[in-house]
Amino acid sequence: MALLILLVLYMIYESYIKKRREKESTYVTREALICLNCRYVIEKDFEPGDFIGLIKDTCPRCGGKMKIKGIYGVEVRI
Amino acid sequence: MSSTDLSTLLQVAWLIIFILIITGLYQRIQLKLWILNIKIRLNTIKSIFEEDKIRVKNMLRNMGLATSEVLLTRLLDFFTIEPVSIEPTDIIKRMDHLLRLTENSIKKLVEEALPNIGKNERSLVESTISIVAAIGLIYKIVRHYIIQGEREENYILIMQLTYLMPQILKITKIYHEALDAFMYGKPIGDGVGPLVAYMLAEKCNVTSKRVIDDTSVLEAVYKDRKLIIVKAEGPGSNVGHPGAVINRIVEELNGNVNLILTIDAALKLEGEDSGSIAEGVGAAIGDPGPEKIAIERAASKYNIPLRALVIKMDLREALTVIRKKIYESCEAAVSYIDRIIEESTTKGSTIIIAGIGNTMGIPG
Ligand SMILES: [Zn+2]
Repeated sequence: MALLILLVLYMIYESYIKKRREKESTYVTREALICLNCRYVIEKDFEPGDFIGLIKDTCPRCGGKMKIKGIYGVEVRI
Repeated sequence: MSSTDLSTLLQVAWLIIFILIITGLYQRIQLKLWILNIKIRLNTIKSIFEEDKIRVKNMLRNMGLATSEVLLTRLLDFFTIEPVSIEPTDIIKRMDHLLRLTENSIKKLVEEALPNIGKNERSLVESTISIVAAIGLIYKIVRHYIIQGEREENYILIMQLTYLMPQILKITKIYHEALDAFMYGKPIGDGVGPLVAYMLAEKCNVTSKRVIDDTSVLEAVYKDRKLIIVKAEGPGSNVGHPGAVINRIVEELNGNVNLILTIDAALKLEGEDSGSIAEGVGAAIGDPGPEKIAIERAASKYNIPLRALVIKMDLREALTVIRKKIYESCEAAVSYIDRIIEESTTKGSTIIIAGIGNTMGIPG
């Protein structure tokens, strides 16, 4: 009887672990901008219409033009 | 409770179990449970399908198409019939014809509905609708089998479907998640090929650029070698026709090419690391056939070494926005290419480097 209870408890524990492992991670899209003048790099959120290589925004350090160096998803933990 | 009561109860219980087994009734109960299980998951797929249809309608409305119903009904049920394979003569030619025809028909339908929208935005609409169509197809096929299985009480069919459902649901959720990238034109994991090609082009001195067949061909000088970089024309959602283009370039150069290197995303096996790079031999391209065979034929006709570089990832990573880890692997892949070029070619060589995959969000 004790063995049966142990078995049931183990199965519940295992399904809980499995569920936690399978919990889907969520991602936000970020982009890295590099200054064409002083090579300063900033990271910010993706905006619709952006693509790699697009010239946008000005550098906060020297006021030069910035280019999107990369766009990628970063995992967020809640 | 006395011990006689308990033993009577146990006997009755055993009797019920015995009757259930010999009459096969337990199988009926099992069948009903499985059907219930499938129907719950099918409803999830249905709600994903309906939600995504609304998202596409909103997207089309924002682009100025108020009545998207006609376009959607035509495109969501669009099909391509596979060529006859029992007689394989010229099957590649026939398949290529059908694939291009599918591509052009969808392009034309979208163009007619959205004449004032740019080419890149239109390509996003085409891809977005095709993803929703894929989800719709999954929904319709599962619904077909559950209705058939329930009507005919097909125990085997329902059992198979029950155990396949988690995988089917997972794929549906991946497509659902992929929709976000395709609606906004974000680079996806499958874009590693074009991304590596773009990064390489940024590093070297590009002398000319032309576009053939939706595919960009960049000529550049790098480490005293002539590089011909081939990638789909970006930054719209486009895979181009790298096979046909490589074949054409090799013919133009009369086979005077010292190396063809293809770079693509590859599905990893469970347990392998995402973003790991592997090299090998052959054409790294996952098309139904025509593009791949064109590269292989061009390489074998002139005895050109055909090398491949792949970046590994799972299906979810391939179809959704490119992960930072995989993005960093692309930078590593560029150095890897340097090594392959230096090891296997000499100064003055001509090298074709093809970045295979969807170039969405990646220009050039
Ligand atoms: Zn600056």
